[in-house]
Amino acid sequence: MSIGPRLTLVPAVALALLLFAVPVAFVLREALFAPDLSLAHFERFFTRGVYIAVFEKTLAVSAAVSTICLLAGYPMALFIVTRPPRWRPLLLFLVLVPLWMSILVRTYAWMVVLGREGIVNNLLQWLGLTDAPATLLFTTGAVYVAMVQILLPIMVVTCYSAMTEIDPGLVRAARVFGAGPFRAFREVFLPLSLEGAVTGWSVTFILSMGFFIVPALVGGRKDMLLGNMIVNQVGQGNWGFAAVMAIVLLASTVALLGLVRLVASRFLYSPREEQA
Amino acid sequence: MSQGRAPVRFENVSRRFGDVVALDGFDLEIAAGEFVTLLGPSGSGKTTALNILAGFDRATSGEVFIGDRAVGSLPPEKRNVGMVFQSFALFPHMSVFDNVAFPLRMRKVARQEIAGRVARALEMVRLGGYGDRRPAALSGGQRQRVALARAVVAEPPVLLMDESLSALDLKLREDLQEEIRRLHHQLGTTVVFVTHDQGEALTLSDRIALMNRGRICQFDTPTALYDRPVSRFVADFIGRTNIIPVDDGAGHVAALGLALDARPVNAVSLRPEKLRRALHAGDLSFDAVVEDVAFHGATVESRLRSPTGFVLRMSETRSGPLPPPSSGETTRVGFAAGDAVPLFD
Repeated sequence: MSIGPRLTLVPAVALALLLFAVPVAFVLREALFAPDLSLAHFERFFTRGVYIAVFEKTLAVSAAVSTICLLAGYPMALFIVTRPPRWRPLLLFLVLVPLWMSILVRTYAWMVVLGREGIVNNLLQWLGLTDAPATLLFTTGAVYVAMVQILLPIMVVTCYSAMTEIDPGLVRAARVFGAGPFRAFREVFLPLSLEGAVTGWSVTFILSMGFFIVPALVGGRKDMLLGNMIVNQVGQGNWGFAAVMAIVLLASTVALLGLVRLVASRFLYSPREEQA
Repeated sequence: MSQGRAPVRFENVSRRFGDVVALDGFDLEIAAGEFVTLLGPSGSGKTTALNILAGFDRATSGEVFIGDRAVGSLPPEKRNVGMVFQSFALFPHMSVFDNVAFPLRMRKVARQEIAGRVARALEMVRLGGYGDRRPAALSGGQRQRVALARAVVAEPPVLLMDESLSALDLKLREDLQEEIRRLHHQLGTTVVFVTHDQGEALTLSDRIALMNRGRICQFDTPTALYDRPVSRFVADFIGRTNIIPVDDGAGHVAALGLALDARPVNAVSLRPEKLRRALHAGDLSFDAVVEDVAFHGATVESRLRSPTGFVLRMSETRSGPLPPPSSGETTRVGFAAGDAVPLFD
């Protein structure tokens, strides 16, 4: 590659340096100087059970939300990609509509839906299924529901775009050579779309790890995620300790995704490596 | 490799997409072991016919038979056919071996037997030892041969080929045409080949069904199709020809100023190579101006204008008795009356 094409990268690289690398460096400095150079903040984080518990919970919730999104989003993308081409843009549009609303608005909407006097409770009582309002809001379940609803479109779109790359002739070939519809899916379509599914899972996982508005508004006290703790610590002026948690969050996300990529590249078909 | 073979029959098959009629009362009988090409321009219905035969599409009415079994309502996997796709359709996530083994695996053939049969199929297309490669690591021609091996490995009684060579360049295409002919001889399976390339159809087929607008225009051997086209469309589609209008019921060809004893038709077809300057006794002849001469390797092609202003093409082999004509000269050209083929529509 000559110098020319590389020049086109300059704006993006400059932005990434300015808006990502520099702030990360600042955060790292905050974490390491307390106020003198020491690992005291890190020590505090890793030696107190309460922080580790929240960290583990963040990992668990993110993994679970991403997995639920995958289990719901993959079949949805499959449904859209198997419709006649003229219907697909409309269906995809319907999936994307919620993305136009801010996460804050959508979370407040969930408060309205799940509250004591909310739509769901009114409906349950009207149907005679419950006598008194059920506690739906400020529960772990509410956090899952809201996070999945927010992240699902991203999963659907990621899976969909991977699926459109698959030559429909391959599934036909599988059929002609003796595979029934289900077998053709398992032998050909699934392995070829799995990489897209893993990408979708990774993207939703990254986003989940940083969630704090949703647990703060619809979750209970015990549903606090690492993001909420960072907000709290910043609110109390504990910049150093907040920085440590931010670094733990970033490092663990990167490490986990690296692991996912490693496993995926070992076992999954990727169209990109074929072209290389 | 011993090979079952089955006849194929389309019985009054129609396929409509809304208002569009893709196949219109299509009838075709293909004998067991025969190599038949469905030839036609795009939109002629040839691919629709193949899709209905493979089970990717359903006929609006009519029935399709493989052997004596009506297969029209069976899914593709129950039809026991092999197929070579236009885009090869090799499974990119599987090795060459796994691709070729796929039809056997779906048929629950024992593992040990699969290894032997895949190896033989790969030998047959001269790709022995390529089993471990991924399709992406192969050239276009090699991919095509893997697709062939996969199509025949389960010894299906019918082999379908959909524009199977059109993705390849000319030289490779010619090599593979030979390969396909050899395979057909070796296996003896019934082949239904779809193409829009008339040269390919002439080279490969026992018989060609030339299609237009969802119907068969003529179903005949390549030579008959070339020598005795029944219609203007056939004459024009197969090879190159001069279509000369016949002006009245008496068969007078005013365009050339000749009285030609053609039956009452609207036009005759005269192949460029049937026109000649070295006249034979009994030839119909006229003076023509040579307007353009083009060297084509083995032949020399000239554009002629008759005294009445009608333009004809003439093709001469370079080994002929006369030196090539030169542009601008006037020369006597002629043809045997029997070489002008009456066209019935």
